Amino acid sequence: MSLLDGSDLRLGDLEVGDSLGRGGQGAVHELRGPWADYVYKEYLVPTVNGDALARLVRVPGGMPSHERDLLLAQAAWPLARVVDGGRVTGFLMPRVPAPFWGRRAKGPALRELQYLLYDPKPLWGDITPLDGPGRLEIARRAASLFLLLHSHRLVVGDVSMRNLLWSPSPPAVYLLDCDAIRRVGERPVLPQPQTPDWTDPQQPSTGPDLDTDRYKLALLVTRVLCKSPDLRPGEEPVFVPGLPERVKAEVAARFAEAARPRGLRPDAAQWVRALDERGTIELPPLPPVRTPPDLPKAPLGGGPIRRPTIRLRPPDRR
Amino acid sequence: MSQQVLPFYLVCDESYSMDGAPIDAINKSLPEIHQEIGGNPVVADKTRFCLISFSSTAQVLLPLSDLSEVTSMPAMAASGSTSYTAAFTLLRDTIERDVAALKAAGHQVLRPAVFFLTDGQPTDDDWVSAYQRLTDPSWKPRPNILAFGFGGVNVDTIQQVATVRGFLADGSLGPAQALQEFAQSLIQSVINSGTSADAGGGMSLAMPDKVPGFTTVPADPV
Ligand SMILES: Nc1ncnc2c1ncn2[C@@H]1O[C@H](COP(=O)(O)OP(=O)(O)OP(=O)(O)O)[C@@H](O)[C@H]1O
Repeated sequence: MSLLDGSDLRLGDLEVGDSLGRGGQGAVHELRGPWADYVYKEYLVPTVNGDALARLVRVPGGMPSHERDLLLAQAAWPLARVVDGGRVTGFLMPRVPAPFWGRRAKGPALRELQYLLYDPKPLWGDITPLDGPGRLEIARRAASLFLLLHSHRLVVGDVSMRNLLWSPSPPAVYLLDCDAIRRVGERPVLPQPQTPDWTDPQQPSTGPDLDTDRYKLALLVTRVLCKSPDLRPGEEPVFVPGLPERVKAEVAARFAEAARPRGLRPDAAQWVRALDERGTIELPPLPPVRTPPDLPKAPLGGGPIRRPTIRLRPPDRR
Repeated sequence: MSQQVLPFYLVCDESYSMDGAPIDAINKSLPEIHQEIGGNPVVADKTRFCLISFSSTAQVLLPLSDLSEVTSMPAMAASGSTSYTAAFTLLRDTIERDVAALKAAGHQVLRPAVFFLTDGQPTDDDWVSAYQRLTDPSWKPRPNILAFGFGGVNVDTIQQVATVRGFLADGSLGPAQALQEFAQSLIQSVINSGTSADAGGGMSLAMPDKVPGFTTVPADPV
């Protein structure tokens, strides 16, 4: 049973501990006492949309339980607002679980996606980038997480090399900064900052939407598989070794399609299929839909239709 | 490759009055600055870091570097008086050369950011002309300067040196702790600059608003 049922917590009831880090808009603090498994994000800007935050807190409760479990295992979801008097000062979220922490010389560090985008340095400590198959596992899980969020019309918005964490074994991903998430058409908790090299050139002036997320998912998947911090659709992906040919071909095709106009970019389901063990069958484009003329019908011939069987090639093995 | 880079200069007073706890605190924070910035791949890739110290003279202790490639840094050692002229003159020459080199390497160079740390009044009265050369509006790479003062420095000096924002120790923390906060704000500023974009999607300088133990003072327009 969780200590948190979604109702607001009073700032005065928390034992706020050391600071874990500070972003543009907030500072994240450890908690002591009964809330030690959680961390407190304190907003440093005054313009917090408390209703938007309350809506986010209610999201997991509105999901079927298996989806809720999947979400909470993979995201630092806001679980309770923190208020002081009438003011919303921040929220509680789970502390990042142990597998997503690495160790550098001077202390723990989050295993951020960015460590999969560069050649390793001694300063990274025990954060060792993954090989091709390991990267594929991370990309798959990221695409599945986006599929889950998008099926609930939840927009991530600020997808970046710092907001997704990965663990080497078992392979897993964990999404940070979930207070930037909003449902399609709703306002975010705060106006969202952008991350350099992770911008959508076609982002609407009203802010990110599902289409923006699809573009950024294309960046995420392909950059991880190519170990590139700044590859963009339109450029030729050069993959790390150890990836199945079929996956490379499909990822390259989907990545090129992400350069298309809004509405025509591959969605999360297409990315899941492109990365799937199973593979997909490329179908020719459908002819334009026409309504058949309403003509008198001949009687149907009896007996079931005999279908020939198509033998499919087994998918490439990794 | 025309990648944006943002050069940071830490310009640090090591005059005699910094001896003891202040110098020790800075020397202790250098490995932390190195690890936090150099161990953050995107930030290391997009920023460069240079360490200059000054007393009666000024010297480049660490030439402008990608911190992920750096394996050692000379330590600070206190001695001598406080010549702002030496600091500003060396800073201007260094920036001039560094920006040219980065451009020659194909980078788009953003306006350099200077964290200027001092604990005493300058012992040279004629530093203003060296300062004017450094901040000359017709000199394209003129840096944004954040000035941090503690100990004997007065607020007017900090406001004169800062071009964007000044910070004056308010005495609520000891020098070692105040300098630790200074180093944290430097690290935060570099990391946030390297990872958050402006409206155009490019990098921009993320400045601290508040630093524990310091009062924020506006820069004095010259
Ligand atoms: N759930 C968490 N558990 C542990 N540490 C966290 C957690 N969430 C964030 N942090 C740490 O706190 C730091 C600040 O987080 P925060 O989300 O406020 O900042 P950010 O992502 O850097 O910036 P911004 O708020 O501008 O998007 C992060 O860099 C991370 O190191």
